[in-house]
Amino acid sequence: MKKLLTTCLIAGGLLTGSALAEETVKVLSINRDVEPWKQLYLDVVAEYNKANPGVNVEVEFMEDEAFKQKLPTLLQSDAAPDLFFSWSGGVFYEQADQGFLRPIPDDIAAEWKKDLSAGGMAALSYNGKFYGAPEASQNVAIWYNKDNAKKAGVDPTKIKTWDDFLGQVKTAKEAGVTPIIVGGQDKWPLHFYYSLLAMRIMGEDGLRASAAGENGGFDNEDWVRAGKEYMRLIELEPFQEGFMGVKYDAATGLWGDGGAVFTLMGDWDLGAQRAASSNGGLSNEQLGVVPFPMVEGGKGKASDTLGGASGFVLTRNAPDAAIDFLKVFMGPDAQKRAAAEGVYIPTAPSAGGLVKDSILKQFAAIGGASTYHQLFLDQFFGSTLGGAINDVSAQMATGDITPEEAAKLLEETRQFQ
Amino acid sequence: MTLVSTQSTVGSAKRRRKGFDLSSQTTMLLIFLPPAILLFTVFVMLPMAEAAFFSPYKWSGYGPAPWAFNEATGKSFGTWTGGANFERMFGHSAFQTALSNTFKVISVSLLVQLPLALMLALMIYRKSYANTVFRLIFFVPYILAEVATGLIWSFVFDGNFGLSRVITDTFELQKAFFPLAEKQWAFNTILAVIVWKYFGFHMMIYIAGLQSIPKDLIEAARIDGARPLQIIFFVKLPMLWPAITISIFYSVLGALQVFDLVMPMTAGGPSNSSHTLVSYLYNFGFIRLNVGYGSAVGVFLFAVGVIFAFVYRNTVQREAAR
Repeated sequence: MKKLLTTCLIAGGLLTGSALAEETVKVLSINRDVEPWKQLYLDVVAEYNKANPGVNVEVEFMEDEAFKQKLPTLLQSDAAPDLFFSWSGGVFYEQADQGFLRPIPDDIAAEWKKDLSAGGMAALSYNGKFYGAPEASQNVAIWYNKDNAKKAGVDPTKIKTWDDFLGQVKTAKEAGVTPIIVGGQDKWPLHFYYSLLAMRIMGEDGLRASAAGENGGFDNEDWVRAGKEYMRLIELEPFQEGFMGVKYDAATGLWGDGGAVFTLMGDWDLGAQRAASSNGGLSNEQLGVVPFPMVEGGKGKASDTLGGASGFVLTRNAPDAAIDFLKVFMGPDAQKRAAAEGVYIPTAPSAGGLVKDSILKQFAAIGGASTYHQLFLDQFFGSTLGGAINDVSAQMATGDITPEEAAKLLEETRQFQ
Repeated sequence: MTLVSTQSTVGSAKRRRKGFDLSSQTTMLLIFLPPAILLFTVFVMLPMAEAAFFSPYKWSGYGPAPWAFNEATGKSFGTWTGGANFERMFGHSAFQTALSNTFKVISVSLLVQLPLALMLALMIYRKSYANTVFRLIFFVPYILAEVATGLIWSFVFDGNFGLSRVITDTFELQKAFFPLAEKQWAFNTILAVIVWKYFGFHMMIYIAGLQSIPKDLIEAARIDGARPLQIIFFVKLPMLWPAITISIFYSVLGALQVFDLVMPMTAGGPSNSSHTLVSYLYNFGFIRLNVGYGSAVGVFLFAVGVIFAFVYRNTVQREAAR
């Protein structure tokens, strides 16, 4: 027994010794429930390890909520990973601001921008420095249910302006079909309307000016107009009954069961509605997608997109090998494979065309044609101000506050930050 | 209290056998007290003190403490804002709603839940087979886990599929009913569930109290010609008063902590209309990475709890103990 123990100890010592000889890059990812996604990671890592004998990449997967909870402590400890998954947005800004992340050298970042998505890279940048590489992209657009559109007597492909959309909502309502499904209890599904209206009205420059506190910050006529246009929709009572008591998951189940003509949601809803519905959900043939329309007199373009951007970022003490691996990990080849296998909608421009699913292809096209990609406002503005945007979107929907009050509330919150 | 009795035992031991027992008592104290004190300090006192120290900072929770120096950035992790967090808190409409909701929970607990529990206790406190069954039935809601309860009721009140739908369908009402989605209903619905969930607990306290009332007292009152209601008001209730004060105490402190029921039912919505102090703290402090602000709310909550406990113990409960 004692002998066995000694042997084990020696063997263990030898193993650690050999592991120390090569450089280890630790990667921490959220759980990839979709099997092909996880396999993609493992394959890329295995290939990289094979091609680079001096480097040993290890991937660890952690369930989403555990990941969120453990990360702040992990980042401050010696056990910090070298690369980790990020949803970008407020939490990412905080991590960068507190110096937990390692910026990518400028020349390498410039090199990356050629192959990887510039918009995605921008989402993982803070104060002019780039901290990571983008992976999947999410975009929000108006989905419509073709059967219900027919029943309501509307043609969503004709939606070009906000007024057109309101007109069709009204027609559907009069025809006795629920125009829109929304999970109001979660608030963020409602904030899509307010955000996109704000984007269409004030454009990229206007949003940046608000964030920087110029031109009255949020308390200006553009935000008030965004609120007013939003209220025009709310006044039509377009949502399903009891929409404020339903979370997104339940709402998308209603949508998948054919509960309405429209829903404003991201590309992930394709799978989500099928999983949450009672009868398998809507097929690709039953669904259509149109970009969020223009608002007349607005400075934003109809091709500006709102959505998410996720990717992997580097921690403070990450070795150079981690930068090298990141480029391969999130690189065009991996993204092309992801697109071809239908794993996710890639951000790398060269991979977008390979998406096969007929609906996701439309989203890839919307993303590819994006003139300016805006990160979800509730993430972009950080957790406090972002949370306030969700709050006022819900409060306007229940008629508690006016657009003017909403703008004032947002500006107050911004000043408090 | 404990200390005094220990000392007196030590004293009597001293008198009986000098030296030996004293040292063994001291050894016992030295062995058993430190772990308890340590645990209490680390897990109760320290976090409370920390919250108080964090409350005047704007801090996201990154770094060991808001005042700690961050080598990577060359400044501290948080920024000192003085009383700004408290000022902000009292001015925030959602906080005011949360505060008034918490008071609503307290008043409904005292005015509806406790009288209900008392009534039921009076009905079923005698020992019999049927009473035992009812006691169990009334006590079941209290045994259920809070989050599970919240989920179950959120399904019941779901106007699309829940019991709420069945009712509207049975009576052929045109409009579906979504109590958790309507501002005027959401919190009242939660209040109803709170009453439903906790009345059994208070009922049990009262039953125990009622069973310990000497039977001859009630017998004597009956022989003297007291009617059942008179017996309740002039014999049972006065004898039960110590139990009632305890149940009020638990009820108020419990009301200050309501959280687990709110989250699955409404998550504080619609439009932040159904937050309690704790769910407000969680949402605006932790979810939004505002640990300093959350600490400020926590300090306020703590102060309310301590003041209540102190005042109540020194007035009502002292009276009851006499």
